[in-house]
Amino acid sequence: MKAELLELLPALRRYAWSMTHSVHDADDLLQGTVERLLRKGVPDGVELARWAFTVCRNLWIDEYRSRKTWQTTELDPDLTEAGQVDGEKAVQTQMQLKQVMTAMRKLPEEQQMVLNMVSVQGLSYQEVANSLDIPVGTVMSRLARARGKLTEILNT
Amino acid sequence: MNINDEMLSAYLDDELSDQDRALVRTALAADAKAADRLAQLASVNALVGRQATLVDQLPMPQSLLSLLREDKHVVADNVVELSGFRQARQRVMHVMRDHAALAASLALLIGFASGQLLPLLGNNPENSHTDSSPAIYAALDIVPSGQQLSIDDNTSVTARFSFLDTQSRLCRQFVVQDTQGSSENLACRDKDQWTLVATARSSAVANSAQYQPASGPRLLDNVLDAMMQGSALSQAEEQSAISNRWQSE
Repeated sequence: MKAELLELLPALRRYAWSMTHSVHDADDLLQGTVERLLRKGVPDGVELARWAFTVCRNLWIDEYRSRKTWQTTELDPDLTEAGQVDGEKAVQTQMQLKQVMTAMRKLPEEQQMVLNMVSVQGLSYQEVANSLDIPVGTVMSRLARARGKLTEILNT
Repeated sequence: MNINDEMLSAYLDDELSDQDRALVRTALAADAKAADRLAQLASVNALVGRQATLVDQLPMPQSLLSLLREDKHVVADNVVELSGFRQARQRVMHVMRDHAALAASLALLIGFASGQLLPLLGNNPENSHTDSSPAIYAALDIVPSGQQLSIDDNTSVTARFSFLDTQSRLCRQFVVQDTQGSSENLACRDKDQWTLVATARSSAVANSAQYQPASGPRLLDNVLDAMMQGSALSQAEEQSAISNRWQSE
């Protein structure tokens, strides 16, 4: 399982980052996810990748979210530094990405969750619906509202 | 027919039935507003995906890698000692077995290195970093892992970790960043000098159809798996190597 988890780490880390918007918190969440997976294993008949994202999300909801560090309005300084590339275009991109992160924090949590699962994690609507135990139609509407709201925020 | 955000959003994700997809296509061809709205949603969606990948640019925490690469050093509650990670030898065999294309990847990677990293390191006289190569190697001599060293206004070297390869050479994984981008690299100490062993530029790799399934760093991981004798140097061991000017015992 460790080898499989190693392969999954980058995708899991993106997912953790997309929820926390803080490198420190994302890595903390990732560590907690991996520790829990190693300690408790994967239920029979469940694919590790799918289970890992579920554990990560549940851990975020149950334990990490209450810290509220994600509500900071500043872009993580580590990430700003890491993302820096010379040139005017890069500066514009940084600003744009910062705007996206700020805008995402303004979305209702259920919309953020669905948006991350589809646009970051790459899950199908059916997979999201199964995972969150909601109808596919709800996934569709939350996603559309999230994207619509982001478009509105970024264009004002 | 009125095409709303739900339809356009699902169209973007290829989640519509054939019938609804055809309806959206027809609407997009006839309605400039719908086409503009789709472009807006697609743009936002691309940004959401892109901001998530920003975190890829930072190295994975060593403690986390240790947790997954180490078997013997995991203590009771799964907290791992932080004195550098040790690569399980069995993983090398696992990777060799599972990555049947490893040999081909290595060959391609080396070819890739010739075109991408060597200019960065100064082997190309037309390159603006002609003078950088000795400085990069000099940086490898002294910079501890986890630290970044600027070697001129535009170029920096960040050491990731050090290890012994299967030929008992001291080697280092490091990142070079300059105005053209960044590259992940491996160099090993041969006698009194560093020799570049492998390199990968993320952007160039991403543009190559042949490398689509794996990112540059991931390819470098495979190379590392094949090269490492089994352990990364601890902080103390690395400091000793730095003090000894990277001379193998």
